Amino acid sequence: MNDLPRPAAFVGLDTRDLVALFNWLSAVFAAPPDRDSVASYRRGPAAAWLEGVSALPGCGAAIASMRDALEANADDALVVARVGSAYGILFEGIGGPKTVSPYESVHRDGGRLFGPPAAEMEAILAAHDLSVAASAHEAPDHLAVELAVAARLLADDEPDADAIIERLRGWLPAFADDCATADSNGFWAGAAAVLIAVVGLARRQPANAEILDATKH
Amino acid sequence: MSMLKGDELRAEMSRRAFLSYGVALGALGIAAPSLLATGARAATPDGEVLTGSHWGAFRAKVEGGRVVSLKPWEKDPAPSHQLAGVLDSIYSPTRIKYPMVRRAYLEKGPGADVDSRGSGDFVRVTWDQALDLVVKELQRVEKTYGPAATFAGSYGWKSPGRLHNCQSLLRRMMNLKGNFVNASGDYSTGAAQIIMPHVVGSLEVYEQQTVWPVVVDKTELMVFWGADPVLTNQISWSIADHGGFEGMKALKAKGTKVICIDPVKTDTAEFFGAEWIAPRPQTDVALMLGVAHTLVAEKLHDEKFLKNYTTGFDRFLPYLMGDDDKTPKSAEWASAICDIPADAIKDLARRFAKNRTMLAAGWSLQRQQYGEQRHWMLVTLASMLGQIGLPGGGFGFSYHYAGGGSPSADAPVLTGITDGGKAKAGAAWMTENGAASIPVARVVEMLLNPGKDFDFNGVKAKYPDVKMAYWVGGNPFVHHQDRNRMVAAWKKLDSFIVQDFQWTPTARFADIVLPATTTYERNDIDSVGDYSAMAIMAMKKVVDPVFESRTDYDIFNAIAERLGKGKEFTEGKSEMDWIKSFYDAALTQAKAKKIDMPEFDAFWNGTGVVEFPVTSGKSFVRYAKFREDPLLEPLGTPSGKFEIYSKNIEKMGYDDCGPHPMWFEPTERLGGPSTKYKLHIAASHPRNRLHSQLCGTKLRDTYTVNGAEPCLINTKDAADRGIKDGDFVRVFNDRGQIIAGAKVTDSIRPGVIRVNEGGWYDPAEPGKPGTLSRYGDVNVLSMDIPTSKLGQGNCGHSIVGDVEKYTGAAVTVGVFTAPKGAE
Repeated sequence: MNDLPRPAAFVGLDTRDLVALFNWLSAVFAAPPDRDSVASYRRGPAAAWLEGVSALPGCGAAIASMRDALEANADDALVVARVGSAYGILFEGIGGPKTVSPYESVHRDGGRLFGPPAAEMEAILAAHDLSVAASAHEAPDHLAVELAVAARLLADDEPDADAIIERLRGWLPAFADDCATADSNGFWAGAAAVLIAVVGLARRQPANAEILDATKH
Repeated sequence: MSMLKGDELRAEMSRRAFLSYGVALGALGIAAPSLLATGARAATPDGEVLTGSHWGAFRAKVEGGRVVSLKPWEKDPAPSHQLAGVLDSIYSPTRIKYPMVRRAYLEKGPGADVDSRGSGDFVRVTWDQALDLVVKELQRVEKTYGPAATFAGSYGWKSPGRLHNCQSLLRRMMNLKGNFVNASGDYSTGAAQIIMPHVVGSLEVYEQQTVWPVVVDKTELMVFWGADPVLTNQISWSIADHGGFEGMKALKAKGTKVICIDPVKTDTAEFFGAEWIAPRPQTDVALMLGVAHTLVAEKLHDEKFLKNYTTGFDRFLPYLMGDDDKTPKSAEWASAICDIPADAIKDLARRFAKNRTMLAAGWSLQRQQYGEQRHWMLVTLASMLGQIGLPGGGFGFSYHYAGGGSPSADAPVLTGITDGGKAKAGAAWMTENGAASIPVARVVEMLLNPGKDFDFNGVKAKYPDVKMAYWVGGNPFVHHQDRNRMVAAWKKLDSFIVQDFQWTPTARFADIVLPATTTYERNDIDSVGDYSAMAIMAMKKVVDPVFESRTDYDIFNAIAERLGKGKEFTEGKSEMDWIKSFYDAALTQAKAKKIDMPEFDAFWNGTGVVEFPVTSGKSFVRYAKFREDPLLEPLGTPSGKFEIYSKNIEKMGYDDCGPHPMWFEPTERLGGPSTKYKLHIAASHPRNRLHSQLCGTKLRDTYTVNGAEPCLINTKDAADRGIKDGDFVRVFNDRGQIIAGAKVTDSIRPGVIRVNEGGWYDPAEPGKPGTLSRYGDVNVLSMDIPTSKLGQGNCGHSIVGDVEKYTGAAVTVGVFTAPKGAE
């Protein structure tokens, strides 16, 4: 039996909610949405998901921005192209000096990839017998990886989950600000704003505060 | 965050239930790549790796499979500050991570929506998909259009390394595929390397100079003419040895008088405290003629030398003295053109003649319209001074380049991967192969005028009709002239493949982009010192390839395999087999010459470097043997002597290159009779880059002006235009416009501004003619014309234009918006 005290619940949000949100955001930032994903966001199950997320504090305007980009054209293919093109220019280096890097190292370590944050994330992964999948060909401090790790550790009820979330709080505001400035498409600025809101929501409640537990209502 | 209550809360709970209860991403129809795997990554050993770069050799410290720091090789006498950029190269946020294809090309095929090239709309694909596309297109183009429809004369500075010489590898693959269009020459010495064999009988520009120890000992007057060796000697084609800095430090310590002839007070001028003479750009031949006229007028020229060691002076003299055209090329005549007082010109002539003088010319002089005339006239001037072949006297065209003048070691020659073509005498990258070949700087002319005749060094040829280009190890959307013309011409291509490690402007204009490793993610070998060859160094892999990048060798091998030519490409050798073979070939020579050199395994697994001694190289004087015995040691010219008058060139009958050096009025120049614009735009090599290499790194932050490429401007020119230090400025002419950041200074002469070449092209509206380049790519403004029919070199330094304070819409430079002053 686990003698360690259960970590305090997240304020106003179930751990499972956070796992789902982090997993979703990891997928969002891992790659631009393909045609099926765009179709789902526009008129499929993912549309309801966006609706649900939009109700979370701080997410309304952000989801609206994402939706505006998704609805900017009647043709799914054109939306895929525009959102995908923006992803490449913002996050993949295609934008050259206008790149908004989705790597923690770039924001914390003099603008380069594979800085100390990458080593730190490597160590965290190793401590949990995890690694970045070889097929992903990705650095361990990529935003999508850090979100995936946060989701995994939350799901496993690992205390290190809080540390990962704290890491994200450290560099994501600068990332989101850069997205807001550089993204003319709106989808990614919106997604980054959702990210900030969700990470902001991922705070454990203080020990003496009234508990707002969804399961009791 | 406020608490929710009552109805609000219940509504939210129902939404949360949707979130909470096992909603898998797949059920949402959202693609989710698998990012995590069970099991920790295998640890890699920490350590230190010695390797090399264009900026010098260095030791890389590796921890946890990452490079954490670099330090210069302890034997580098003058490490470059640019070495810091190497770390940025490996770990730049603009690394190309995986193969990508332009969306329209992927969806609709070759030639689709070419206007969208440059907009940055790419789709990630697998390596298999990318390579299949490449091979399919190579085969389609050859089958549909013939052997001369694919351009693979890819040019650029790539990276050191004898195996992963990406341009040789490209052509090796192309030779196995069938055929291709090659390119000859380079952008460095396009005109000079063609004229010099006619004048001195050899390439000259990449050949050893009178060495620095002799210069220090014997030269009394050192003249750097359009050369800035303190700046440009930071880099080398192979691994930089920085030997030139030892020579320059010794020259300075000796107190030798130095003159710098340059429109800018260069780093070299500052270092030596040199006398600075700033003629109008593009007028150097006039200045040289004025000096030459004075030598004759005052009987200071060496008639004996001219008689014994040159030919044709008697046919040049009437031109010089104005006997034939009634225009004596006197100091007064020259002064009106070059804006140096006549008395100063005469004084130069007297000082050149009186002292043991070394005329060290750079290559910017010949990257201009009629560029062939500069070095030809300089050799003529040096001949008139009669000091060629004397210790410390004469001329040198490589003191500014790659350590030219550093004494050559007693070293074996290190070979490298071949492209399968027949080797040509000259620089190592020159081979003859391809179904057709064009002068390298005429690539846009070729695209715009297929089938058109062109002259080149006495030969006539036709431009082929090219439909596809494959570029590797270069950045033509920065180094080529007249960007807008180039962008328009490039639309002609059905396919443009770019293989690189970084999202350069060229990569952004590609259809298929293949991610290559940097030098530091693969094994290789190279020499240290282009001229000294002081060592052979193991370039061991420092870290594993990042993301999905592959070595150039592996990429081209994969293509060759798909073409059914894998065995021929590799010859059954692995990467290390090849490296060993190059080393062993050198070892064989070393043994024959009794030069000490370990066996390969001891070399590779030991220190990773073998150094060679300098013996006779310390006292090398260029042309000494010829001077001593011109009959037994003739030059490679038809006469065996320096040809001031060339009968071969006379026979060509070119209207833009006569049989002897001449002044030709350029199409446009500062102070020119019909020039529209008021300023010359100097485009010299930058201090903090190697051309465009390292522009995409954090090193940029150390020199940009509010994020913009600096534009040097004289205080008077700035005041006339209301420009202050730090202002955003628009630099423009009829060919285009760029944004730069003003640096107001008197270290540049009035009438000239400077925007260094190599700034990355950043079009505000990609594909739109005349669009503003938000970053200062000076080649938006330059002319895409040949130096002449003889050399067909590039004219990257023939630029006029103007500058004004930028008052347009706010631009985003980097991720920062322009400061309020620009709005």
